[in-house]
Amino acid sequence: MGEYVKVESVEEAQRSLREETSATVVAGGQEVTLDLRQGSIDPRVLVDISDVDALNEIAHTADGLRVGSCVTYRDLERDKDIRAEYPTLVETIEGIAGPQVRNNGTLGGALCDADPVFDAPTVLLALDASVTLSADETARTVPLSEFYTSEGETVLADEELLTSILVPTPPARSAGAYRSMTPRQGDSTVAGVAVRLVRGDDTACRRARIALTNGAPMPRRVPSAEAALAGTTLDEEHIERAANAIRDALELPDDLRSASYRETVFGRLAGRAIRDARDGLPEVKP
Amino acid sequence: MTDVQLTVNGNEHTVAVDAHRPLRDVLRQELGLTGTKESCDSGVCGACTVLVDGDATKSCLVPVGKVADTTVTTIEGVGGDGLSDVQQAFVDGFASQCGYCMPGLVLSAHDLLADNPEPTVEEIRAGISGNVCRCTGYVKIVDAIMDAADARER
Repeated sequence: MGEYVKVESVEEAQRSLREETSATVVAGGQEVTLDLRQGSIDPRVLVDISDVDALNEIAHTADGLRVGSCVTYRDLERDKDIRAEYPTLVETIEGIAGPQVRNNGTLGGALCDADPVFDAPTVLLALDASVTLSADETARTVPLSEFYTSEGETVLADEELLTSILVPTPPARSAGAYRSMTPRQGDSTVAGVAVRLVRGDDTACRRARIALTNGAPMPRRVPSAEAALAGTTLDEEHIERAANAIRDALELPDDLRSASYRETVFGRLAGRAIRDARDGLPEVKP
Repeated sequence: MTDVQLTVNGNEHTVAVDAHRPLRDVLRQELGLTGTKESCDSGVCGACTVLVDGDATKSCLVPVGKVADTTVTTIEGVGGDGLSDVQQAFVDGFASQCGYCMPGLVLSAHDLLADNPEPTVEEIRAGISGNVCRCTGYVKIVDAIMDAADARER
């Protein structure tokens, strides 16, 4: 028989988590409710943080976009400034589940759930996002690329809350893309590739970020594929090398679909995502 | 058991329940509001859609404790004492076959039109993408929602 506590501040949430040995944090509830039903969690108390004002703030700062962990997908879709500056992120969010889930589901919830099939963490990895984790009197900022430790696990300590996500302002002359495959709208993503490219002073790609959805037991970047593109002209040969690096880096568990099929899908999606991002880069003036 | 205060279709209720139970079960089993349908039980089909503070929400995906102090609208209350304009458009447009998905679709359509009073066909299709209808093929449903939007314009 469970209790439900709606807290009004981060401090109150942390007090509840400290005092209660059997507690689960709820934001939008879209995954927690399923976990309860499936019996994978059975806490005495659900600590709902979604009404905490500080966790619902969206702020455009000198460092970039700071999104409170309880901001919903729908809040982000409605924000014209975010859409203009981070089109790949917003377009990806619009493809997630259906409107009902996006009305409630939060960015922080998607990150903490550590489910490799979620799309938003992948795009945030390619955007070099970081997360702020707050304990009682302290807060630390962790790059999202260091947030996930293993399947379903993060660096989040028991008493810590993920309070906000920082998405750095995109560098000048950069472009991104996300390509994914789902059998039908709203289904779980079978494979997804997020790419972010930064152009250098000449035609070369100065820096690349590549991250995968459902390519490993946790959301992750692929440094070998990023290295295959950095310093190149993003020609077909190097795109193929990056796609091969992605295929080599996959850690595909047994699944409904064979690993070799999904390898092929990842290779194709990688090529498309890299070309899309390349074509979005501004021309370099001769 | 926890006492949970609910406002459903304008009526206030206090129900003594396990606050972790999904809202859908409390609506159907405690309040007798069986218009909210149970189907996939996994957040996919949209048959259990209700409005929570106006936002379409799958009632199988929220613990009832979460909606304390919010306003819940189910299919029984969306039209007040009669039918809402969307419901009437569904009737007039023969948009229903077996009807099981209708409550969810009607409430999703209300959320869509509140946000976007002049949707395109594509926007309507996106707006109901969280609702599965196994019978109709959606054509008449999309038409009915467009008719409801047009009628509000006039």
